[in-house]
Amino acid sequence: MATYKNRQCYFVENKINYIDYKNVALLKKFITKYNKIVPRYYSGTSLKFQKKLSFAIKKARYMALVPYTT
Amino acid sequence: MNNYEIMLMLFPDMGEKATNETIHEIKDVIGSFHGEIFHEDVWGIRDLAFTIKKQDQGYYIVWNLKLPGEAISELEKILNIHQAVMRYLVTKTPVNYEMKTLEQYDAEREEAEKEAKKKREEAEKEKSAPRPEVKVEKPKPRIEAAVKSTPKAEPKKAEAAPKAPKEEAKNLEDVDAKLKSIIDDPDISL
Repeated sequence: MATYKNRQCYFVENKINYIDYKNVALLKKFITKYNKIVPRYYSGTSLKFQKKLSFAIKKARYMALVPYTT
Repeated sequence: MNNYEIMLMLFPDMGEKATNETIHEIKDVIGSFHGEIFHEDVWGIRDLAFTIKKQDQGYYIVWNLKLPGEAISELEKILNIHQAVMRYLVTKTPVNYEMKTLEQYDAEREEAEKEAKKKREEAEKEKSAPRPEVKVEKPKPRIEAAVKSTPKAEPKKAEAAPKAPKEEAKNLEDVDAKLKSIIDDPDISL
């Protein structure tokens, strides 16, 4: 699938298997200015990790580590 | 016996005694189900991203547990009713999972920031570095070229000018001599 500027999956390159919802610094890379989840086309993540990422972000939002909106 | 991870959020304005009592209560409940806590991380009071029940801060605790499968639903019922617990989250941990504390996350974030700074500085140095000098010959200005050309032309003209009248003079004398010889010759009638 074509990605913006031919970006590659961050998790495949760094060989990360488990995305921790407590790792706020990592999650903030995949959140826009208005705290929305970045689409797969612009971040370049693969489908498998995009699903895990979105699930982790939703858990972090529930525990108030990351806001829902500004 | 499965491995679970619990994150608890307690009210922050209870005081140290009350929070420690609630923590002991919950640990006793886990002990009654024959569970073990083998990793604990107390995050303490922390700002929330949005207001929950008119509170801006929360007291976070994270535990890594070992519990039988049936005990989890009963634990959740107790946590739902408990008045000191604002929110809780129970997750299954994958195999070979090691819990990271808050300090480790902060250390990783600082290292990443330092590396990003270094890259930015290197990129700026490359941009501002002096470019290698390329020698370019300056084209000679036109005025000097014109001035240089004219003095050379004048001596040429001066040399050519005296030569020409001398030659002309010689030609004229020859012609005069020839004319005289033709006129004085008695055989030719004009």
